Order: sequence, then structure tokens, then C-alpha cells
Amino acid sequence: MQPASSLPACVWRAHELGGTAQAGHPSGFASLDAQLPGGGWPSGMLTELISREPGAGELRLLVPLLRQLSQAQRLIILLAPPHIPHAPALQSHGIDINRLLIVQAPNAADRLWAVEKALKSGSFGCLLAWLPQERTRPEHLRRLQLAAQGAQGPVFLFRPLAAQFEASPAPLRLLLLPRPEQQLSVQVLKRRGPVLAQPMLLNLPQPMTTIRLRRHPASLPVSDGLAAGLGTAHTGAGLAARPRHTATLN
Amino acid sequence: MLWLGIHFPRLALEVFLRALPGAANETLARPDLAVCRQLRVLHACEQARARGIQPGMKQATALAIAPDLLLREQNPRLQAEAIASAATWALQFTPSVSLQFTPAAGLSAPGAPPAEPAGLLLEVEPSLRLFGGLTALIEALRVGLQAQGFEPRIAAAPTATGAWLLARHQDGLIADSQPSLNARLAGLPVSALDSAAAHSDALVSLGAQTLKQLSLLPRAGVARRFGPGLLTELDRAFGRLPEAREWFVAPARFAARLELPAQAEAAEALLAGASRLLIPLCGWLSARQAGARRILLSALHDEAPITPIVLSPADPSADPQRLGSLLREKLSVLRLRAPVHTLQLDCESVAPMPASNQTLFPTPAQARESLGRLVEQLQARLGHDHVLRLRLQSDHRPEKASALAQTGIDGLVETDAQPRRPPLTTGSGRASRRPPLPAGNGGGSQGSATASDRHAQTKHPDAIAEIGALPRPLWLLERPQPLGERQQRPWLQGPLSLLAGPERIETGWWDGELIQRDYFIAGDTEGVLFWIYRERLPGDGMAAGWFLQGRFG
Repeated sequence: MQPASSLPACVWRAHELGGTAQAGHPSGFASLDAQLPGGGWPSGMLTELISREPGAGELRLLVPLLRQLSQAQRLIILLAPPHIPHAPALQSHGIDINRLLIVQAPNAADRLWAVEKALKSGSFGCLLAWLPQERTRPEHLRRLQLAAQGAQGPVFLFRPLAAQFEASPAPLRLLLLPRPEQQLSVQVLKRRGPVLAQPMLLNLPQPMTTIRLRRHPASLPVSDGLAAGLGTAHTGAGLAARPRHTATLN
Repeated sequence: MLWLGIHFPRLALEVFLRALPGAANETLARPDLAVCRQLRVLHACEQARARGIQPGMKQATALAIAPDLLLREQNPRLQAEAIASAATWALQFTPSVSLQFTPAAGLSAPGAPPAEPAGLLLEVEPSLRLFGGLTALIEALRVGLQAQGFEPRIAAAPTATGAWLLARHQDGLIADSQPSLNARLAGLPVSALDSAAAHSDALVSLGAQTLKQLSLLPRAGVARRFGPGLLTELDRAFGRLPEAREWFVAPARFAARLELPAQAEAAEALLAGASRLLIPLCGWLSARQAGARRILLSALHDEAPITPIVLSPADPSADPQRLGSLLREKLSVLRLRAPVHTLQLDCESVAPMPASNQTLFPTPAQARESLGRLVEQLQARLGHDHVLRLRLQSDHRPEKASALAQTGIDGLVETDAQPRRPPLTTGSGRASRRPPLPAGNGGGSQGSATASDRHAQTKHPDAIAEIGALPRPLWLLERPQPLGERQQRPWLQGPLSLLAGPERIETGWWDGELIQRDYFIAGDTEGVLFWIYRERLPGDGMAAGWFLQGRFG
């Protein structure tokens, strides 16, 4: 997917996919890699991931990258995550939690400051930052994009849906929408390359214990399904020592 | 031997001025300052001189010209402290640092008050190669001293006294060999000699105006008329007489204080003074090949207890820029209760830090250092409890299975000293591959879980696939969020359908935080997955019903 011409990486024709000075980090999704300039998540520039709310699949999209970086002993910084990352889940995805640094910044100004400091230091393998929507102006993003140019790893900014209609200096912007069956629709809003009209459908990675779910959950009345005798995993060592085989919910 | 003489011609003024922010800082105006001795102006700062204040002027005249002039009595104690601080700092360039004392001017009579330090002498010949030659070394000294608020005169000569005489005469005189020293000294006036101060008129009337003319006079006669001190000083300067100097010894524990010329109201105003204290500290540290672990900067108030400001870098550090940026972040969040009149800096804890070899390419050690800088800057501004790492805990309760802990940066990045570890820690009790069935569980219940697993699968192969090993969500909510219930189904901005489960977690009776919950994986109409639970037997004060505890991200 590199440009066929021998022009340097900083020059790209609008009808072909741009290249990057250093090859991107493989995202773990072949169809996504094919559409990203540089063949993966780019380093040294901002990547905006826009989704409705935390939990839409944005973190599982990055799981292959985080797994690869953490196993290569690179540092992953989570800046102002909206919830607490759950260590057992991260481990079951193969991510080494010892490589994670979590920075909490309740104050919006502190948060922008911390992102910029982290970008300038460049001492990370990957930076995931959640920005406050109401306090993030385009000039802030431009500052961050300039600071990101020295970074050695991919930089992801997570932004809410409202941000998709705002101008942004980030060279790569993706809109993430959840889809049933553990899929994620990824629409490229902006990239160094031709416009991609169709969103991509990606199968989200699953932990080593896979989530195998019922096929048509909506058609199955819940109370019936449960009353029909669902097994209960009894993992506690607490008061109720007697194993139970049925769950009584109602 | 090559000596550097460092003379501080404006020291009396600089001891007061150096606690003020630099002239580049526009926001804080510098007051006009003059230093007096015996009711006469001794030195005046440039601003004051521009308004017509001249050295030698009477104090009352100066005040008549500029009523807002800040007048300070000359303070020999402060001057001695400043010289000692500069000497401590200079120890990083050479271990051979010596203080040069000057008998107080105008008090040459025997029995006068003790001599006060007036400058430094550094023996630098062994250091030339390390610091890139004489010119580079002098430049480094000059820049460092200016950063501490001094305006030094530096000269180089093969003899100590020669270097001192040249430095006191003019800045930048460099005599790197004996003949060039002789040539340079020959033109100096006799008044340059300390011991000639009392006899300068007599010497000039004899026709001995320069050192060359003085050395041509018959030695016996000069010794008889002016005492042996004059000839001794002359011979030492020209290298004809050996000179044994007393070396400066750094204090075993670093402590320095700086009196601010005016009370500082804002924390930012302390930055200039505090950085002046940090620079000698860094010199002291690098002379000892150590790094500071913990530095205590105390701001002293008139009528309030001391405000302590603690700097604790992530790694031991002797880098003034690193400590300075840490200090800046600390001061930016500090609110002063009262005006500050004095700053005191104590280095409370040091750790040996051998200098590293310089390399062409980035190394893991450098990556660690830059990470350490980042972490300590974040800690300084956001607080230590906001820079965290994840820890696994062997507990079944989801909110306790992973914990945020504040720790150092050890293990965050690989260093040479650390062996490469496998990415998955398998011995932590919480098995990584099948999270809900840890090794600590009773054998009976584990067997029963698998039995129920089989049981369910044979009965309803399509309904629930995984039992006993439901995956965990990537996001855990800080506290479970109660969900509504409509038509006996949990509701979160729409109906949730239960996709997998239940997984019962019932534990924690021993520490009073018993949970009895049935966990399900639920999906909303868009396909977003949630981790929800239902309180099985709500106890006292616990709400019943459905709760959202995690999002699958």
C-alpha cells in the first residue's frame, strides 16, 4: 500500500494512500492496516478515536497493539481514563500490566498539560489520552500535534461523538461505532489518502476465554431463558458452600 | 599547574541582588539597590547608577536623589556564605579549590578584623581535558556563576597569586605559560598587590608604578622599608617562591540559606532565589558523585510556621535543570500563607550515583531517566496519588481484584540491570488464563463448577457457552451504577439483553464486605457489551436489583 512513486514519504498524491517516515505499528486487523497510511497505527502524530462513550469497543480495538508493545517491554501511558482499567481482563488479553502507567487528572487544564508533557518527553511506547470535550480547542490540539512529532510511539486521543464535526489537526481520525456480534464499525473520517466512504467492520479481539454468546438475544425472553435452568458458575469461597445449579432471578 | 583566579568585584551588591529574579523577568520589577558602609555608598546597582547614585556618595545624598532607594549595610557574613557556596559549586570542576582572602580594605594595621574571603582559586590543569579545554572550562564557570547571580572576573595563570592578581585587575586575562604571565604581570600597577595597599603613595613616589619597576628595585632595601610581605607576594606571583594553599573542604551535609532582599508574597517569586540555591547543591552533588533523593526547601515566614517544600525526584538526580523544573511545578501549585523572608535548602537524602559513560545512541538507561523526569513532573503537579500503576490482587471481588497503587518507576521500562521477564506473571495466584477459577479455591467447588458447566452445556448447548469462566471487562466502573428494571429486564437507556451468565461471585464475608452477586454479560440494542450483576440477597442498607459494574471497552 506504499505509494508507487519514488517520492519521499512527506509527499503524497490525494488519490493514493500516503506513507509515513517510519512504518506504522500493526494494528492486528489486516483490513484496517490496509487502509491506514504507513500500514498500521502511525507514530509521531495524533490519532483521534471518536466514539459515543467509553466502552464502545475502543479499547479492544487497541488490544493487539497494547499486547505487542507491552510484551516488547514498552511503556503504555493511560492518561485520564474514564473508568478504572481492570487488571485481570487486561492480563487475559495478554497485556503485561506492569508496563501500564495510569495518570489521573481531574482538572481539564492539568489534563492537557499532562498530555503535552508526556508527548514532549517521548518516553513511552504508546499514549492513550482522554480529553475533556468542552475544554479542548483546536489550538490545543495543534499544540499537541506539534509535541507529538517527537514521540516514538502511537498517540491516541479519545474524543466523544461531538468532536467528529469539529476541525482537528490530527492526521488520522477514526469514528468507532459498536455493532452486534462483538464487531466494531470503523469509519475513517480523515487520513492521508483518498476518502473511504464505507466503514470497515472489524471483529473485536476476545480474551483467551472467548465470549461465546447467544445468537439472537433479543428474540429470547430473558426470564424464560434463565428459568429454563441456566447453570451458575460458583466461584466464591464464601458463605454459601453449597453449589447451586440453577439461578433464581425472579 | 594552571590556576584560575575568580574575583567577584560586585560581591557586596550581588549577595543581595542574587535572590531577586533576573532582569529578563518582566513581571517582577527589581528595586534599586545600593550597599553602604560607614554611611557611604559602596556599590550601587545599574538601575541606581543610571539615576545618579555613585559609589562614595553619602547615604543621605543618595536618599535625596532617589527616595525609594533600597539601602543595605554591607554584610560580610553573607559575602562569606556566598563565596563558600560558590566554592562548593566549583568543586565539580576540580577537587583543588581554595579560598582567597583579602585583608579588609583600609584596615591594614595589624590586629585588624579577620580577613574575609574575596574570591576563589581553582587548580584546573588535570581537569582541562574532561571539560574540553581552558576556554570551554572558563565559559562553563562563567555561565554557572552567572546563573547563581555573580558577575565574576576570571583569569588564568601558572601561579595562584598571579592568577588572583590578574583576575582582580581585569576579566579574561589568560597567561598559560610563565613567560606570558611575566609579561602580563609586568604591566600591572603596584596597587594591585594586597601588601602594597598601605604604601602605594610611597612606592609611586619612588618611581615604582608597575610591578616590573618594583621588581627592579634593590630587594634588601624594599624589604627593609616595606616589610617582607611585599616581596613575598611579588615572588609568589612570578613563581619564584612556592606557595602552599589551604584547600576548601565541602561540608558533609549540604545546607544553604538565602535571605530575600524584600519579602516575597507569591510562590513564583521564590523560584529565582530557590534556583540560586539549587545550583550549588548540584555542584556539591556532582563533586561527591551522588544524586539527591530528597531535598527540603523551607520558606521562612515572620509570623507563621515554616512552609516546607519537598522535592523528591523519581531517581536520584544532580541535574539542576531537572530539579529546577520539578521545583517550578511544585511552586506553581503552592499557596503561601505569609510573606517569605528567607529560603533554606537542605539536602536530606543522597544516593551514590556514579557518572555514566556517554553514548552515541539512546540506551535503556536514558529511556528510564527521561521516564523518571516525566513521572516526577506529573507527580509534582498532579500529586503522588494521581500517578498510578495497576496491581493484581488475589481476590474474587471484582472491585478488589485489581488495585491502583502509587509506586516508583522501577520495572516500568527495562533497564540493563533488570532481566527480561515473561510478560504474563503466572505465579500470582490469580491465574491469567482462566480468571474466575483461581488456585486458592476449594477443590469441591471447582469440581462442582465444571460439573455444572457440563450440565448446562448438555442441556442447553446454545444458550450459555461459557460458564465459570466468563471474561472480565476491560473497564471497571469506580462504583457500581444502579440500573433500572422494565418488564423484568435491566434497562440502561434501552433494554439490555443478557448474553452470558450467570456467574456467581459470593465471597468476602471475613472482612465485612460480603458480596453475593450473579454476574451477566449484557448487550444493548447497539451491541455494546456491559458487565452487570444482580444482588442476590441484598443485606442491610444494600440496594437490590441490577447494577452496572463494567464495560467491555
